Amino acid sequence: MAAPLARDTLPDQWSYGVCRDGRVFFINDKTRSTTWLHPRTAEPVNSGHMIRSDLPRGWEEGFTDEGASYFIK
Amino acid sequence: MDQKIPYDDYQLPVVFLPSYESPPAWIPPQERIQHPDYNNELTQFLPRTVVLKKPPGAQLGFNIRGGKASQLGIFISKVVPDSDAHRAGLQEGDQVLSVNEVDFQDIEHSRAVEILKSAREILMRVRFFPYNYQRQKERTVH
Repeated sequence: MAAPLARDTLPDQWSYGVCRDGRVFFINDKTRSTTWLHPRTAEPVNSGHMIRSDLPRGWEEGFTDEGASYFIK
Repeated sequence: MDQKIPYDDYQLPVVFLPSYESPPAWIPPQERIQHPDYNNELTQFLPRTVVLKKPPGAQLGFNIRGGKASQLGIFISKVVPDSDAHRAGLQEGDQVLSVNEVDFQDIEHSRAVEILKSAREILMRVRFFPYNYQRQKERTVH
């Protein structure tokens, strides 16, 4: 299970995308690149890489609309 | 230097490892709105809770596949139309994360079935994750 995610927002010039199959990836508009790893924690988020769910712990304990965007916005 | 050996002449089986999958390539913001891998709503893929009551003798209303052998977890493979499970929003491709507080992410298939069949009330944490559902199907014959 992924370590608890520090409640950090994404750095400037970063955003995220969601694939049609559910995988989340991160977009760096400064370097024009994409990555599976969250730029603050260097861990994947809902990417399918880990055998166990790699959703940040907060997401599994009662998800809210605000909670979803909290880790990625 | 070494000569390349045609695959047919190899003595040992050739193993093809899956290639690393990159995330979608970077595209400028104005192009993202129409790209099928950039603009999906995240909320549909996040965990949610499904509660089902199962009277004695009743069917579950859904089938599961997967388990420890295929290493990707337990997935809903079929939901009976108009069943309680269907009305509760369960769908093919949902990964079952837990049932009645039992972790289903690394559980044997037979144990998962046993827990579901013996429960009278089922509190499931699920998440829709088509990517791993597709991978799980590719790893198994049935």
